[in-house]
Amino acid sequence: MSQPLLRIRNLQVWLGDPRRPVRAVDGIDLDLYPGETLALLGESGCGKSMTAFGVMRLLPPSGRVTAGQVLLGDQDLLRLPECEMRAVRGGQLGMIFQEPMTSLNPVMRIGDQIAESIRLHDPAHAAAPRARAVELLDAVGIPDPARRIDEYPHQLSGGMKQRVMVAIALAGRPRLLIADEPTTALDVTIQAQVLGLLKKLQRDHELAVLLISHDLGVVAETADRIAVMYAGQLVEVCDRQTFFKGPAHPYARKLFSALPGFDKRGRRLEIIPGMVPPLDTRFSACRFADRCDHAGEDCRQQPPPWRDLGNGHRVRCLHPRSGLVESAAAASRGEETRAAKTLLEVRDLKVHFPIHKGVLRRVKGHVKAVDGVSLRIGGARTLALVGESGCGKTTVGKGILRLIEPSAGQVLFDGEDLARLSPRALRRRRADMQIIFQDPAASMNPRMPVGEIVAEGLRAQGIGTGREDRQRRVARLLEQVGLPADSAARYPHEFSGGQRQRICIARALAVDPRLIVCDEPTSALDVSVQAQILNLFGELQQRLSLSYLFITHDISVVSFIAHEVAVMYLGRVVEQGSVEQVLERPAHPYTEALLSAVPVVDPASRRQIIRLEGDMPSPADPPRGCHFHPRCPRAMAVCRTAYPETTELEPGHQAACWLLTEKRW
Amino acid sequence: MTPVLLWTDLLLFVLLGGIALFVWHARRHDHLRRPWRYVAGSRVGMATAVILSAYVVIGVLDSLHFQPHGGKASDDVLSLFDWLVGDLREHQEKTYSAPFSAWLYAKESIEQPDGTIVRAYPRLRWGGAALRDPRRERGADIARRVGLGAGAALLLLAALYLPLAWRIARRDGVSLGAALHGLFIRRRGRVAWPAFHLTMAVLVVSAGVLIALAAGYHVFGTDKVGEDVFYQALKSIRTGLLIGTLTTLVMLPAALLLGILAGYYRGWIDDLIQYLYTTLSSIPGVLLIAAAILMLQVYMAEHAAEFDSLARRADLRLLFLCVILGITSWTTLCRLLRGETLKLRELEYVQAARAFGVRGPAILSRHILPNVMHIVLISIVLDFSGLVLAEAVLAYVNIGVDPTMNSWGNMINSARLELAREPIVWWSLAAAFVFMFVLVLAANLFADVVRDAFDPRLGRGRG
Repeated sequence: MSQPLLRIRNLQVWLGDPRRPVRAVDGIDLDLYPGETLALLGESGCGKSMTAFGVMRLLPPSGRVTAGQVLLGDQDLLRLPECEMRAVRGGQLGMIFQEPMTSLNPVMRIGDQIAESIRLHDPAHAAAPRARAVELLDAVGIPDPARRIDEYPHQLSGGMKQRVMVAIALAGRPRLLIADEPTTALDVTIQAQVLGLLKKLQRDHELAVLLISHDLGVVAETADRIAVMYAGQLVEVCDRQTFFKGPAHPYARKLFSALPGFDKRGRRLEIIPGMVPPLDTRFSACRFADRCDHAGEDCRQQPPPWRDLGNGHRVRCLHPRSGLVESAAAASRGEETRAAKTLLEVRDLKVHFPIHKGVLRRVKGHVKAVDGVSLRIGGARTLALVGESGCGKTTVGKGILRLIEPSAGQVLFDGEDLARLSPRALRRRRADMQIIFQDPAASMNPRMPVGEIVAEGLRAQGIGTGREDRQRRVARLLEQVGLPADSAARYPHEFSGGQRQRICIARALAVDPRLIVCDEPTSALDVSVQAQILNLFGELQQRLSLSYLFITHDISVVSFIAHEVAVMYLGRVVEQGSVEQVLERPAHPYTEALLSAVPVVDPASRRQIIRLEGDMPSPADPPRGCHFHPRCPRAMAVCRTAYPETTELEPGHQAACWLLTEKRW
Repeated sequence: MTPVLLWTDLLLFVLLGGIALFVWHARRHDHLRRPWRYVAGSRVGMATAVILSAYVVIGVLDSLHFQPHGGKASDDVLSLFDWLVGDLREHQEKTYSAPFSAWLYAKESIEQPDGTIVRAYPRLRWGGAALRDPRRERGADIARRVGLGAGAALLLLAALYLPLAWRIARRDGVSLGAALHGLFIRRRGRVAWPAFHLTMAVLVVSAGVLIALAAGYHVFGTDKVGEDVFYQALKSIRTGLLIGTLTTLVMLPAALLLGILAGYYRGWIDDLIQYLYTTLSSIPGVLLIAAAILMLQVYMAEHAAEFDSLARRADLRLLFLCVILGITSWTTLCRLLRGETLKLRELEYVQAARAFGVRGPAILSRHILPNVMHIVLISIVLDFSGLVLAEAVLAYVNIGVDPTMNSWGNMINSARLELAREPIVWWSLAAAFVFMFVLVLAANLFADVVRDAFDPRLGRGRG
């Protein structure tokens, strides 16, 4: 292989108090070759972003590089004076951040933002940056670039903004692109677009890409080589094939087995016990030893040295494994529950938000967030509501609970129409249905101790007699979700993300609900923590016969936990059926595209990705006819004129598409 | 001797009681204690807190009123502070005299022992009265008094701190010097005690010096009617503090209630409240205040019998000023709270509470109110200095506190006429300026620390 483009040698980044520093990056060695994508894989807090910031010298004020070299060619970036570093940053080193919404200046035209970078780093075009900016926008696949160049960031969708970010990074003609979770904030279909774009640009420009990600799927689709980080250190470096055939480090293997999926249904997901050790400790042993199934005495006595397994495969472990990751003999979750009688039936639910305009604030149209959704959930069953952001799935959940007032339709819970209940009757009914939110930190009042948070529902519903009885109940609930009993006196900020979500679950369980609306309950969590929470959901369903309405965008979670699936697009359900029917035999073109866009970990089962162009239209102004037709690869003339009827394909499997109706004619 | 309770005294004690309750409540809640621990850990916070407390102590002493001769209508209403300063109040000259001067500022015809009359600057009755030849002896006398005052203060400090240092030295097994070093210079632990002790020491020494000087001289001179300006400035502290705090107390319930109601319930309630405060904030504040004060004056003139003493009249006017200032200034906080509540009501913990069927008032008091309190606190502390300054401005246009009441505003207002005099009478202005400046600077610095402590984005209050 040629000379490495970037060589990182023993990089150390410390944060905070010098007497007790957090060693966020503790001695990293990496080589990056031209034209190669190296993925830095790890869970939150493992130091992967700090590595990138260390290379770019963009550390936060409390951070500093305490040792090491970062060699770009022959130049040590850490020794450059800041004025020269400015030329490198944005020039030879481009960077893309996670959140496209906040990485662009909202009051500057996108053309000017690109031109700024061209003027600084591309002397050949500095005099006339506009033409070059148009060229770049074209290169990143923005349609009609000559017009778009004068638009402001708010006029672009999320995927477009990320493309503009890529264009800005490219404007400096970089040799190395650092992409810090570039697609985490994007929907799967948009993610597929952006990842495809990165791959194409890399080929065209011989770019080296340092991709920072926590998502095994994304890494599997894009990386050439993979470096796994754990607690500030690299633990394994190898190429993609080797890694996905069977990683050697027990931590990497655990990450695989913690992934939810169809084949693991009905069983418990494997979890990593314990937590990542705090990085301000001084380590004298393997950092993973306490959580490792294979750790021996020797692991606890010395830090493991690098071990070379040949072919560039290195691992920092005394007992490396090999072979495919088997989902070990995890305890079975028991029998699949049979379909029971209907608990909740939603008929033609509509939630419209009026748009006020003009001086008199008259209603000039509606945002049809939910536009005629019908669902059915049986007792002790899980219905997954799938869709991209903005499709109205969260609004459906809140509309059912009447946290947002529905505009029309029926919500029959046990045969009683919730949408027509009086406030008093509704307040009593609320004990039967609960909600769990995506961000556990935001869903707890930071100024209340956990005990009071959990007791909230008990108080409101008048359950329990007196203070002591409630305290006993709270203690039992906390134990039920696997938290220590002394948690009740502590405050939410003292807990980790996974523990916080457990508290939220305990709070919901307090009133003995029969249905829980779970609004993306695991998407803010790391894979290993997600596995714990998904296991908990499974157990609780069995023990308490709970029904879940599981709102998510993550197909692997759906395939693991759901019995039925409903796919939403722009306020309407386009397809629903049992999980096998929808995931194995998708009938609607949108479902097909959605499923194909999901990055898959298993390289063998790589399918043809159906790339959807463009973004979801605004629900204030949905397209005429079938909502999906502007993006549909198989759109026909009829799709532009009328919305298709729902067709029953098999018992329980329905979809709304002209293709299916046509076939039957 | 009969105690007298003025309206503003009562409200001040209610306020102090409220603060005491809050402290007691905060001690038991970790999330409430944390930001204050940050304040206690900040050197600026501790130093300014000491200075503010000194002001507050004087203000409170000045709020304990009584009538020394048993409640007759003609009896003066005095305060504990007046009693403590003793003679200073009665050391009245004929008219202006410069700071530390022994002579009046205006020439008079003086009858000499031999019967001739000369026009000269007469000696003061109190200022430098003990000196036989002030021209020669004054410098030495002042130096002697400074030394005496400072010495006494240092003795007092030693009496306070040496036993403390000795106990620390005994407990930790270190030398006395090291223990003193630890008290005043080197900080151990999380609380910035050295800043506290140092400020305390500086304060005690300057108080000692001032007391020693004030016994023999007019430290800040005298005003037109010969009253000691230093005494006036000290008396003005109470007025300034009351304007700064009572106004907030008056406006707080309205701002808090209306703000979170508008933000939480939206709809017509929101429209109504917004309409109310938009209208109110469009009326020029000075106009409203002037009208209200005029009305009050008319009322008091017509019901003269109800106000048996000068002090009561002045007090009512002060209270009224606080109320009217409160009415004109609650809109800003209300608007701020409405915005914050709009944000909070969409937060998931509020939604979760609604999903449990928790009633509106309970959500407001359990979830919204505790989470906007930091804004309330920050704006109270920030508003304080603004209100103290506003008092001075209002007095300047003659719609401030009663002219007979001591206030910095009145001092400035009366001094303004004398600025044109040649030679200039500057000391009233200077005294008011120094006292106000120290208070407002301390309050602003303290407010900055409090703001930092409660600002969640800085993440420092977490420690």
